[in-house]
Amino acid sequence: MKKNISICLALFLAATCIRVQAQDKKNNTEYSKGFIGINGGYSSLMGNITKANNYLDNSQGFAVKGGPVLSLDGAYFFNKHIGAGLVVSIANYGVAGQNILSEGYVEAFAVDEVTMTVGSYKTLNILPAFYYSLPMNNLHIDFRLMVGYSSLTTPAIKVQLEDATDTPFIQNKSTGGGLGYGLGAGLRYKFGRHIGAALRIDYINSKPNVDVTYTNLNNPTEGLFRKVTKYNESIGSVNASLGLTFNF
Amino acid sequence: MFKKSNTRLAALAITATAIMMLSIASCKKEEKTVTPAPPGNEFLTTTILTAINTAAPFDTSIAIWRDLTPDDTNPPDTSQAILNLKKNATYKVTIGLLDETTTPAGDIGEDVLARANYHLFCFFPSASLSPNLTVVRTDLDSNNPPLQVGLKNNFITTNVSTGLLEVVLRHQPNVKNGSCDPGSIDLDINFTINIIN
Repeated sequence: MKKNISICLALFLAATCIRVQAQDKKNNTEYSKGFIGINGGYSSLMGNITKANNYLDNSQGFAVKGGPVLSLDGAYFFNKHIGAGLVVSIANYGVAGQNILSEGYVEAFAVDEVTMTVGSYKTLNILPAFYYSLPMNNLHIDFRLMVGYSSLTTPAIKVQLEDATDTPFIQNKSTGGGLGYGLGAGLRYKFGRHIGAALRIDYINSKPNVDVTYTNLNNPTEGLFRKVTKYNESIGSVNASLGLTFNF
Repeated sequence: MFKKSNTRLAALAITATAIMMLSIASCKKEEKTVTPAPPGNEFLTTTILTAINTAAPFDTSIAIWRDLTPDDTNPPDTSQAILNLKKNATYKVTIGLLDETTTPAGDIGEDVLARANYHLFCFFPSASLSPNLTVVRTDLDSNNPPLQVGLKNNFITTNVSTGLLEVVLRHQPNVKNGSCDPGSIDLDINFTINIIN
């Protein structure tokens, strides 16, 4: 279904591109050649990565369902409507279900107390984008199709067991990448010749391959201990952001 | 002139915002959770040593150490914590662990076996017994390389003697290395061992 939508959208954009190029030649209309923007907002995470109810299910990521996102984007327009650009975004998500994780470690090691310290998940997307823009005076409605590289960084999890506080084990912070792609829509408003604001919503999907390593983990009991050595789950995110643009 | 400085100001504002937002997005504090064990934990009230002579299986001896008040209201019952072994013999000795505060009694030995990678029994014969009793653990955990556990053992006797055998169960989560030093004590009790003719 997603594939069909993408193909239809691409065909529509290509057809529009040809038609608009012809019109532009005829009208010789002045238009903004491009923009660079900085956006900040909220990213909503989807997929198994946000599940956090089963300590022993390694597909569950225990990531919080939302977090801050920052993106830099820019595009160069070949004509009034068609452009190419780049979207770079970084998002940060906390760890959910921390009690479930630490209770799992208590049970796995049969200790009286566990102290667990966790970092956070990070995603990075570097996505070249194909833009289709509809200018209406100072307002532009942008659509963009993105394909590129996405990475996921899983958090470091340090676990201190009551009977071995001097030798905590650590599930190391680990990063892996893979193909990322997405669709986006947005509004860009020019306040002056160069400055404007943008409101954007992007959907990005990826399946990064993360190899997870441990430090000082000494042969835990299988079936009782959550040992994630590889994380390769499909991750979706909807990023809603507001930003400033510099138009040229 | 105005337009030029305005553009520079805008570029500066965007750069400053970018740096600020990047800092916010990349810096997230670590979170710490302290989780105690759930209430209603099992007690280790009863330890049973079952010894079977490898050369004469009908020669068996059972010793029971029992403390039904783990809160130390009453002293442990050590009246049956006596093992009689023949001299110059080898006994297969298994250790059973029970929680007799519940009905039916809980099998703590199963829990220790399930977490054998974190547990080790250590045996310390008293001075009078030491020259005449050797304890060899015969079971292994799934560590790599495998390490001894001590739920199953060989007791090898030589001359007639009497003394105490201190049995200690060490809890060694993530630190087990084959020695008795790491970890904490789950159990530390004494059995009387009589090596007889």
